[in-house]
Amino acid sequence: MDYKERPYFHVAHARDLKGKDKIIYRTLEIIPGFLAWSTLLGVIVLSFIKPVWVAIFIIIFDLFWLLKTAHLSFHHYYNWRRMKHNIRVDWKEKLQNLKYENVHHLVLLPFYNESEEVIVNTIDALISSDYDKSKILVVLATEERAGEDAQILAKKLKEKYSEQFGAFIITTHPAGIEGEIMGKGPNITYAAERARREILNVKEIDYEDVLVSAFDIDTVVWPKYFSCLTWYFMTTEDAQKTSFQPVPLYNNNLWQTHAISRVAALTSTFWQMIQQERPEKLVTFSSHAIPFKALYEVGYWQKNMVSDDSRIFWNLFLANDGNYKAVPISYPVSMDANLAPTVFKTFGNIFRQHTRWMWGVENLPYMFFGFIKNKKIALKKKVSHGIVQIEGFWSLATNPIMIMILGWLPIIIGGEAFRQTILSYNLPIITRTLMTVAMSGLILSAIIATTLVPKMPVEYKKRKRRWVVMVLQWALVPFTIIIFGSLPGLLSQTRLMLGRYVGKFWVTPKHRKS
Amino acid sequence: MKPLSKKTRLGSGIFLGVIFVILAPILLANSFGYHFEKLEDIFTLIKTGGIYVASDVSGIEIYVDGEYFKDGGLFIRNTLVQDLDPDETHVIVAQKEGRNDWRKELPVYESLVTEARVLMLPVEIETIETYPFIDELGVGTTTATSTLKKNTLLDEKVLINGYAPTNVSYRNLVNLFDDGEGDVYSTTTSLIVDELQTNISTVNGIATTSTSTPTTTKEIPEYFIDLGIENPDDLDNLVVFNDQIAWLENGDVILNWINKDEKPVYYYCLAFERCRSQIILDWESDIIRFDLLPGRSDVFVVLTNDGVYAVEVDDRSQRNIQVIYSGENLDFRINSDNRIIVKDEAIFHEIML
Repeated sequence: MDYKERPYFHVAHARDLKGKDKIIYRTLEIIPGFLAWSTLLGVIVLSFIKPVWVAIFIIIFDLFWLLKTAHLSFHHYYNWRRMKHNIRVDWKEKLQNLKYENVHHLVLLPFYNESEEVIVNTIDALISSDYDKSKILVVLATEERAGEDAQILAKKLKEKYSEQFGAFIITTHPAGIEGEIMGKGPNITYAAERARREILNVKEIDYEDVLVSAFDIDTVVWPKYFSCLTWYFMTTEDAQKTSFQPVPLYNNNLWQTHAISRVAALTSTFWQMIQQERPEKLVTFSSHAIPFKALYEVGYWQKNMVSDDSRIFWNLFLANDGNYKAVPISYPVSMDANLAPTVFKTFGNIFRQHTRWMWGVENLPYMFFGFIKNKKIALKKKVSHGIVQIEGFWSLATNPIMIMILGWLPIIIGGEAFRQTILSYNLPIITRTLMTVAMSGLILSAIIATTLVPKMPVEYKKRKRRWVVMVLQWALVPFTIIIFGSLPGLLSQTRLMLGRYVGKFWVTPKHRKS
Repeated sequence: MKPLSKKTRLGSGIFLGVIFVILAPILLANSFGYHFEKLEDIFTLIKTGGIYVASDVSGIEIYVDGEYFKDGGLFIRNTLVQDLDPDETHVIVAQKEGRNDWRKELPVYESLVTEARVLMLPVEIETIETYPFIDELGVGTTTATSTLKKNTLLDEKVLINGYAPTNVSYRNLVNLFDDGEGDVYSTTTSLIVDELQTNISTVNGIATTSTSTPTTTKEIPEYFIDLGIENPDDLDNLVVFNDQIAWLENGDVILNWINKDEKPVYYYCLAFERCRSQIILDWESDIIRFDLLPGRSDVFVVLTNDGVYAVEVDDRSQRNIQVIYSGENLDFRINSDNRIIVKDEAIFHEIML
């Protein structure tokens, strides 16, 4: 039986299983949280009883962190150059030598109750793209539970835009379907299936010629996105078994939002830029593109869990016995940084959004469970992906806390005997020095960030001061990586460990200052 | 532009990995106090020790065994002197222009740090004087104006040449120095004919209160019992602070560590793991009074017949003693603002450290 035919292919959590499978899956759910808490508590307990061990560990770990930062900064810098290069490339010209005319782009825009301004920006950007609009098929995927106003707005937009694309349909995902969570996954799955029946089948478009771009409603494509994506689709080996990942650039409203929000948003962008140069570690995230045929074969996105954007990669990876990959296209799509009417609401929204992203840890047990069940996947791939994923979640939840906070513990609680050692005096000196050098990577971040910032609105005053803040804001990174990185990560892993599953997709509000 | 090739990435990883392999043991050895030394033409890895010099003064110059070590800079106050040969004593000198030098000869042990804290008071210490009277121009003076009447009902020590002080600040300071006799002015000011109408609150009549003290059993803290002290009230100039108690006995300060669960602070330890529980601060002449130097628990302010001094408790080598105020027949107190107030004849001097 194909893996995708198995009853647990669309499992969300351990509670969906029975017997031995349930025990295995539940154990796998516990592992990330257990590892994170063991690490943090281990450092605390050992600081009491074996402060010298902890001091040695911290010094080695700080050095490792510094060199890792250098390694990642190298990737980041390279990808920045590559992305800028890809922005300049004339992809249409490059496509001239390829038979790409049949390639259609199905664009899914899941819409809940966002403002007309946000949606218009998104659709206008599709129109501004350099790709043949008759090959762009747009689905405005609304939610029944969003109410009548959302439907009225959707119809208004359809009237305005339907003639501009190869197709433009509105789908309304019914509310309260049993077995579905309230979230993006069920909506875009419903939308994709409706598009298959109402557009692809009607127009007799071959599924293999369709690339699905699963966007957020605030995803603004850059002008050459579709031609760039098409080029990668046409030139990638085994493209039907490949997802394509653009760089999510959270910069639509960068001048409008607060420094902490900007740092949090750009840090996420930078992480994705680094991943673009490490394709073996890349998993689809946020806005991404998938060949329709592959998507259709696995039944689209899962409807019973939150982090559908990454889960779809693992669905496809397992369904194709490990012969599936994500290819970075190093071309940006712009999205909104968090912004709410008040500063505190903005911070709250960042935390909630990051907690939702970190809930991606729910894919870890799914992946490992699949590795156990699917014997056709090469062991090398299982080990490689397993280590990469678990190290990623573990380090995100624990490393900033260990470096910024727990590194000082042996000195505080290590006892008088340890405090008198030269090691105890050297520990803060070495930690501080290594971290200072590591933080110099922030200078690179600040430089790169300034090149990704959109033009400052002409009506803005105190322009020089705003630029200064835009640079100095990077000093906030030590705080943001703990508050919006480690803590949400730890929270999500703890919830999963305790079996307190997230059952609702929290939609990040898209607010724009007029 | 192609993505980063696996070869390049691997090269970067290997390069950084090699740096890690080289740096990690060096960092660890250094942090444990190891360093290379040429012994008989052979480089040998030897274990060293260090001295940590804490300072509340910035920008001090540190000399180790007569050689310049480092300048603390504008903000750096504490200094860690490393790579010192163990099982020897080393002389640390701290200097800064305008401040007293500080010198200490301290033992150093393998992989351990010997702690010390500098005492570097200004050579010229500024004082703010408080006079008993203020003349018509607002200037402090020890001479009463003729408009004031002599008052014989007040205690002699309160009166200046028979006149009651009119300066409110001065009166507060008189109260500060008035140990155990209550608030001099709050009960007696009505007797003062205050023709300058200073804004002193007065109470009519002489306070002749008689209070009956209820009989209660006072519990004596265990540390007194451990020290064989049956009645702490008999101790002269008793000061309790930071797990330590100190009192005056036969002109010496007796200082004791009283926390049995914690190792004493560094200056009780003459060698590693060899700590005393008592330090005696003796003097050529008798100590009349002492207290803690504000902001320090390792330095006493000591009053003798010829002045007020700051004296290190630390006696691991010769104590650093620095003059706060010279003179005879002095007295001092620490006020609520943690300032030393020295009384010299009829004038109070606030010491600006």
